[in-house]
Amino acid sequence: MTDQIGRTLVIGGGISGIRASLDLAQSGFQVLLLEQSDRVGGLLSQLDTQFPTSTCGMCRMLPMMDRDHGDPQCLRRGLAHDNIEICVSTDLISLTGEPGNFTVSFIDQTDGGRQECPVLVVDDEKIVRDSMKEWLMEEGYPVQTAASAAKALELLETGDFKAMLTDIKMPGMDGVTLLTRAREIQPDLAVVMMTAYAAVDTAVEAMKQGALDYLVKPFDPDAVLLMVDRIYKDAVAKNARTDTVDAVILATGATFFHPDQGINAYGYGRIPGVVTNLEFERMLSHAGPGGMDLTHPVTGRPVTRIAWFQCVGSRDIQTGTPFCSSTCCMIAVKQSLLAKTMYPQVTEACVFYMDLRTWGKASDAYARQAETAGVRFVRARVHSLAPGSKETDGAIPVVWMDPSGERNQSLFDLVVLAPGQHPDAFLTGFVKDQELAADDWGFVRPEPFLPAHTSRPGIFACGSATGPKDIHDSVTGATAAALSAMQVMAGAGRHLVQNSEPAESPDQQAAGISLFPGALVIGGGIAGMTAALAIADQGFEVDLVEKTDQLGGNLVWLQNGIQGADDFLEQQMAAVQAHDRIRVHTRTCVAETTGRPGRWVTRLTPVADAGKITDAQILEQESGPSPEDRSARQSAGVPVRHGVVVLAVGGAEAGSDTDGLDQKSGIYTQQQFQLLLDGNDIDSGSPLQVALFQCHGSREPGREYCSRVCCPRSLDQALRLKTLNPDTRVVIFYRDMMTPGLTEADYTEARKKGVVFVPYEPGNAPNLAADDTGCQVTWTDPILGRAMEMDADYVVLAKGIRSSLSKDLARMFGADVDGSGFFDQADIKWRPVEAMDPRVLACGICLEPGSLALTLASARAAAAKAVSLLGRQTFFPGQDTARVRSAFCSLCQICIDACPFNARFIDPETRTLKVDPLACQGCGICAAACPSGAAVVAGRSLAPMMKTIHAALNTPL
Amino acid sequence: MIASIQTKNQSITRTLQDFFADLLKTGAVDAVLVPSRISESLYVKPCLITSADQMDPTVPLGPGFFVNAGPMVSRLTRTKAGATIGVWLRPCEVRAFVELTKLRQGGREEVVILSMDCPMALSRKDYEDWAAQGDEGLGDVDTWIHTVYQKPVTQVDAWPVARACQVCESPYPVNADVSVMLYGADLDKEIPVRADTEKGEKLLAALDLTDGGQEPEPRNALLANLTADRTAAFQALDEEMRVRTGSIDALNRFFSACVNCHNCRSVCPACYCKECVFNTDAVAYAPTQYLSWADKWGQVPMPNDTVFFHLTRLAHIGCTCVGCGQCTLACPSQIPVADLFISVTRNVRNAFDYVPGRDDAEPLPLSVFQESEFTDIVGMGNKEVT
Amino acid sequence: MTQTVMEPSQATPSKIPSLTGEAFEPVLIAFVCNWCTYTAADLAGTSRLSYPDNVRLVRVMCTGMVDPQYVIKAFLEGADAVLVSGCHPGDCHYINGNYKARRRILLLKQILPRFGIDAKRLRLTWIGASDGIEFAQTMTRFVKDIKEIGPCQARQQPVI
Repeated sequence: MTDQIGRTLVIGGGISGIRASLDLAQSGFQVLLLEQSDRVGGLLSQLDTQFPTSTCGMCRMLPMMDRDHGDPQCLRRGLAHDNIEICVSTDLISLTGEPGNFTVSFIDQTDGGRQECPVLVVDDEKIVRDSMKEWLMEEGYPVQTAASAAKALELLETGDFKAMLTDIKMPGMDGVTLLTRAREIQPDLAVVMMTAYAAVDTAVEAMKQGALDYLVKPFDPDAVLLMVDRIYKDAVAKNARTDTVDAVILATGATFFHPDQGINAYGYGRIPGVVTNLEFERMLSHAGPGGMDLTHPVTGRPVTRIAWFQCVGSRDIQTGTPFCSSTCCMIAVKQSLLAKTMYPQVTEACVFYMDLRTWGKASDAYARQAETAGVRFVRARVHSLAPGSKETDGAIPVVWMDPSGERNQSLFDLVVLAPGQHPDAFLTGFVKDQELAADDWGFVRPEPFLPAHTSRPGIFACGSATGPKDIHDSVTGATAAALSAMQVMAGAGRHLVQNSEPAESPDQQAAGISLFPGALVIGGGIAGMTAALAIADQGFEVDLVEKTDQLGGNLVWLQNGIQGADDFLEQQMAAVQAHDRIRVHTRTCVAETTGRPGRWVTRLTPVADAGKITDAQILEQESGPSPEDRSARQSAGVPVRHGVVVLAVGGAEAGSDTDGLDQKSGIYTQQQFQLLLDGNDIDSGSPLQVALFQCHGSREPGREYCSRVCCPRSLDQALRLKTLNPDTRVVIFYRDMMTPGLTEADYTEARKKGVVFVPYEPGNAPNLAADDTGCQVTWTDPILGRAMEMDADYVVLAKGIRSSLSKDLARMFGADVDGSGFFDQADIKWRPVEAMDPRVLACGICLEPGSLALTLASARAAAAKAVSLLGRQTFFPGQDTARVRSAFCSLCQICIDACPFNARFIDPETRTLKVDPLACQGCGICAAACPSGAAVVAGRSLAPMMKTIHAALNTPL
Repeated sequence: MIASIQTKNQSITRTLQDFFADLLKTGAVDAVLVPSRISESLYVKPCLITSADQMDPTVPLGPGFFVNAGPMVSRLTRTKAGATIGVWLRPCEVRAFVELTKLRQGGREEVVILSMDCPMALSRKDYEDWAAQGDEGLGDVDTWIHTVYQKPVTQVDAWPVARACQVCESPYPVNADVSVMLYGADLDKEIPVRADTEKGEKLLAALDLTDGGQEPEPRNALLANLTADRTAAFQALDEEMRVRTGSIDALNRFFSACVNCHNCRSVCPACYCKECVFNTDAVAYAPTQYLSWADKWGQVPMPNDTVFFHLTRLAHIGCTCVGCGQCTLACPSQIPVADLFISVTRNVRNAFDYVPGRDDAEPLPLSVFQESEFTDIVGMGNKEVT
Repeated sequence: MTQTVMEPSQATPSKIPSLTGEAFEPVLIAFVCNWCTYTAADLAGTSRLSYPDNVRLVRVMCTGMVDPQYVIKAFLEGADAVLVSGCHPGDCHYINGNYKARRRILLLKQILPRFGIDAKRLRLTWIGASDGIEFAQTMTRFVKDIKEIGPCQARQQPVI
């Protein structure tokens, strides 16, 4: 077995599944990709553009190396890679086994798929028959219905059914009798009894008579589907294809809440003009139903007034979804911005929201852009909708209360609902079958500190299967999951596909590039350590550089606030120190680097005064540097040769050294207050007055981004204060509570515990007046409109995170920092952990602000990319790599200026222009820039193009 | 800093020759590049001179202009020379060199650029006639100099200056280290020189030339008049070219005498390619292709690609053509190539708001872009850029 | 809908249709980028959105690789119009090739109209991968416009 090529099963062909598959494929592993629908791309193939760029760019996720093994085409046209076997329209039948040896069986729907599993639904209630039929047909099952047992028997005589779902209590013959009669006609028929809760006993009785199972009314559609899926899978199991794989990645995504379920206060499906955001996305698309125009789906009239309603079936206890779907706010921002800018006819674009969740480093600025474009954002939850009338000329009247209780009304042509995401039937079934740990809502629960690991070894998860996610987090998580799969395959002793054919010609050989076989990881926080360990575990040398005395970074102060983090940190530090492939250089920084990308020679230098670096190091370690550290430090003068670099320099609490702080008066930063809490230094014997002040200096010019961690931390602090003394008064002043995904639960909990939430706008932030005895907070209550005050014992300022990445360090490796000081990603969504040069990686909070889980995900993703490159080591030019005809080259370098990938350079030894085969993407922009035809791309330069043009013009019409 | 050089023996030529000799003698530079007569013929070419006693044949100012020295300076600076070279350039030669440095064909580090108010040039035939009038096989340089710097002229005696010069709107130094200001100067008395850079100041200081001179008082007004005249002349030329080449048929006729010798390219300072794309396999057609063209129109002239060549050159040097007129001087078929190129490229560079030679730091228009620009050329709308 | 897609190096010279005695049928060359407009053309094809077959698609990896010489040559060889079409701003697979293309088209629009090649004969459009309808409409409109303008002179006589 061990001489086999490593192979991973990826379930789900959406963005996460594609990303994980491509990462594995370009690393040289084989992938079996199963997708239920008839195409890959998932939800994304329905979206023309994404936030926060208003562009697509999905193709940028395609591999940048070994392009000859893939198909250079828009992902809407399909995905192809030699190492990926793609099975669309495929159902997973079963999965058993363990890491290194899973057996999977699956079936092509077009070859004995669901079409082969006709279902008979028997119920005297029409609504039951119709809705069951709709749900099942949507999943691809042929369905017939019968209103009575007699009719059912008639149908059974003539048709071949695999499953029958029958009501028990029906006029005439009852369900149990039908069961007996039906099995006489067709002994192998799977019968499921449907019953009201009161009659469960009868159903259980029926099972003794041969019923497979029963369902209790009212039905959850997922339960029905799961039941039928089970029957289907049993029925087709014998036709299924069986295969073995080493690891499994679950990337099945999520499904959307159906807004017509339950109360349906917004009249979806009833009121013309009420659509979901996905339906609106299609209307916005030129390929959608309206073509180039934005027209009303029913009247066909131009749409001029549009409202967006957030949180439909999310952040809603009534629909059983107390979590946030993470992406809908930004989707509304994008759609409103596009509608307003693409269609001058749109006079009113109005987003109704509870908290505008613009978390993520570029989202807040994007929302401001929408605001500038004229989109109106209204903090209100609309109760319900009534259809338009003659008086409103068909427009939908939307009524809402502003915070002061005043009633407002506006007319809209369209109301766009943001239905929340929740786990789909497949995921629910998979979690159940594989006995995976899941949270209360059915999402897979990742293992602590291993964001891609499920509770089953060898089965990994990414994307919205572990909770609602945006593209950026999904892509990062998918690459992290790919790393986990690689680790399993390496552990099982699996081989790589010989991706890289030996170079055919001496020319090609000479134009190849061999990466130096090690990695330089800069930053010894948890991101750097995680990346270093993952790279070293895969057999590559790592130099880990840390400017301070000790490893651990921010987790040193954070560890007490996160359950299990102290043990985790200790383990990681010990593992890094003990690893024989990792050289740790503390009190060291990077002095300079020379050499080409991939063949860097970097000189390290001791840090003169490591003691006074940042406030992040305020916790002094008792012990001095270990002997190993000292020896490592002595090696600082030796240059490190490395093929990839991982920037993990972290960040710190922003503005902790600046305005407003006054510990005498009880004004602390969030981090300072956390240390008080963790050190049990808060005397809450008598109830305290605490004000938590969100977005202090954040999300405003100068630091125009949400740091993503402060709101969850403030909630945690509020809850801890409430635990210490339930009578403590905690007021959180916030602009938008940023608790995406499952962190919403803490928000709900805090409200339950009596934490007071007061929204403010940038213009009317609460006022702080400090004196020796404390701090008085004054504000205007938005509901009462009255001046309020509070003599706070503590005022905690949430200032957010700033990056510690310097421009100089980034530029040393050809990367850069963005406008907010974080690592400038090649593409914020599609290449989130890389610079334009794939050999330059970044992770942790110098990449983007985020939680520990996100940091671990980005670190593992960066490691996956590094391992993928180092594992290949040598890269030869592909068919479409640009070449240089030196005889014609004047070394004017305009091709270097033109190349978007920095792939061209002058070789100082030969004074000739060369192409880096790893960086070059074969776009041919160099060829168009070069006036003398010295820059050429195979088949795409002047001479063949002249022939093509000639042929094109001389082909008869 | 402006200094003035005292005119010797009422001879500008002699004064400038001595100035160059002094540059060498004082060690301010290790070599000078100055136009000089070749073997006592009437033709001048830029010569690299290291010996101060080789100044006699040099012709610093005159109507002879058969090589644009910009590419010569590029040859002298492509790699380290280990020496400082003073280069005496016409304004259009400075422009050419500045463009070439942007194309990494040379660098300013080791040169000191000395430039002057332009004495203009004659066409080859007129130059030969002009030269035949004078003694020693060369025309009357002093009269030439005294004529062209006193007032805007388009001809000297019977000889009209080259059309390129007649429409040149920037005949004064830009981007030089030292500028010699001749328009409106009392040339019998002194030649005002201005140091435009630190390097220029050092050079003048080495010759003990100190601040104390001034720009000739009439110079500015003179330049304004000159520029106005030339703008009008350019507009006339532009109009003429639009008529003469306003259709494919007209363009065919304009270039009908062209023999594809590509001399225009060889002398063009903006055409910097080591090998022209028209010498490569890109335009090597199979015999069947010629026949298929002949079939298409009933005939195909050979050699073909004449217009393709000129249009490609227009595309390549659309922003960097310095209007020196060398292409016309070099054309064996007397096609006024420069007239067409000056007329078209002026519009091209205006579209990009680019002026060749204006600023070393100004990037080449086709090497850069902005996300939000020229949006009106995109789409099927009726807004047209012409 | 059949598409004639010319891949570079696929050259089969053959006689052109006679120009005399028939209604003017222009020949348009469309340099379409592999990622966006080509996908849109493909989508138009699979969606059975029709557009005139006067358009010859030449697939290029990126509009940024369209050398001005391609366009010049196409006109001199008798194309009645040339379209260069790629990704919307920000969508370019090669990051910024479309912006570079825009400057080259601007350059050509300064040059070609001087010689009687109507500026309307050279177009640059951004047509995204999902813009199948827009692709078909653009092609239809372009062909219609060119029919109104009439044949390009270079089509009727050889250019030297």
